[in-house]
Amino acid sequence: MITSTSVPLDIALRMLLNGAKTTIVLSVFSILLGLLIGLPVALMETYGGKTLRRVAMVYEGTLRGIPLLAIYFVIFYSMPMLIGLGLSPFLAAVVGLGIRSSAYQSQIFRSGIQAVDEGQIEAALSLGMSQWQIIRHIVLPQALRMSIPAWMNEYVIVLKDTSIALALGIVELTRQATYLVSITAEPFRYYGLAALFYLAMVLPLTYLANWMGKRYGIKGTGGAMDVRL
Amino acid sequence: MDGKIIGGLLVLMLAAAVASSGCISGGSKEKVLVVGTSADFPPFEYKDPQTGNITGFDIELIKMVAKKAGYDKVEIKDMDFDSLIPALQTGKVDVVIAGMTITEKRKQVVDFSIPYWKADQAVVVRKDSSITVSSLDDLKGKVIGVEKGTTGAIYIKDNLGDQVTLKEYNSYVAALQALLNGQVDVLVIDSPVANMFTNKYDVKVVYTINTNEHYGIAVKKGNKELLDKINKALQDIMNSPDWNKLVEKYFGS
Repeated sequence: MITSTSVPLDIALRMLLNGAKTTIVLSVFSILLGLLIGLPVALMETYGGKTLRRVAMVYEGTLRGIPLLAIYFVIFYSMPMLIGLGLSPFLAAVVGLGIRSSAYQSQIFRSGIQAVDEGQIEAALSLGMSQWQIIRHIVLPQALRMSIPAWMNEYVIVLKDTSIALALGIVELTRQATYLVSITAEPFRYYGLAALFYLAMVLPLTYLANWMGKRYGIKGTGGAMDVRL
Repeated sequence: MDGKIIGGLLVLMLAAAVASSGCISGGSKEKVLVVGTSADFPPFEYKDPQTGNITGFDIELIKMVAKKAGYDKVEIKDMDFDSLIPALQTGKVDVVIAGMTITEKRKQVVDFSIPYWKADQAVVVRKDSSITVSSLDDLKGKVIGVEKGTTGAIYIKDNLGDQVTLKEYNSYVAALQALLNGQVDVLVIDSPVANMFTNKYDVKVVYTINTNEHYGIAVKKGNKELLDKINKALQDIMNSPDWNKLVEKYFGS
């Protein structure tokens, strides 16, 4: 007779570790997709003509306004029915989280872009540089550097939100913990362990973000932080 | 940021896309039954930590059914319980077996096999409790914990209404913790679930409520061909000694 059992710690840790690996892989693919789409959308929204701007705004506004789970269900269940395009659970998870992140990333880059001093743009224009040259050589290098802290924060959010993919059947960290909890009826232990795993992934990222912000940040744009007290 | 890096990332992602979606159309001559389940409901379906495989009463049963129905293999797709019916409706799985109670509401969207399991609700108290229950009336005035949205919760609400203090929890695990902590005095949950932790925790089952619930295997609405095959297989199995062996394995005697 199967009764609630105890799971040896090494086996539980192995299961959680496998889940953590899936979590990381998912998060990396999703954030990269978000970057690939988010940066162009930011440019469209800042520099585009009326139509491009409107398209960009509708895109990011919609995706920021719908819960991630709803996005997942539309991609995984409605899309096959409506347009016959079926995605595997993993792909659906990456696409869903990726486009959601792209919406937020577009806003991050947009504020980075807008933070570049106008004087530089004017100077560049008076030198005869084209709009694209200005974007590529003046605006973007600075905007991206200034966006680093906010972008790293977005990565942390993406990493934690990978847990929602369990609704599609992806066996990531939280789902592994749920398996263990349902067998042993010990939620504190296993959800607690899972929380520690998440922390172990997130804390180094936070330190990295701070370090990168200082190393690659542009002096003079840090506001009150530039004053060494 | 270099164009080369972005280009490289693009290639990586395309590779991942191809790799993960290309494997589904196998092209082999095997007949595979794709089964949807939610492996968080032992002993019906759960993940065996030793082997990493999804196993359980339902899983072994569906494998037997598939074999009898002429399938070569079973492919188990695990997902959130609430995703199971959408998965059936969109053809992502052929059948669903997940300790799923046959209800009128569900019958409107899927077709069920003949019942294969009768589920009761167990009334559970702490081992040192002096509460005895010989009929439903004995529950009046008590603080009862249930799992939200389950047939147990609905049953108590319908039959005892405000003659009890009802506390609902998101999972039976949370409800169990509440019982152990003293936040509730009585638990009303599925019998198989209750039996799972009477050995490990200081609780005991004092009464069983017969709620007339049955578990069924679900198929997409209208899929009569598959349903007939499943029903025939189920009938054969349930009348054979294999059934008794399976029940004994997971539920003792």
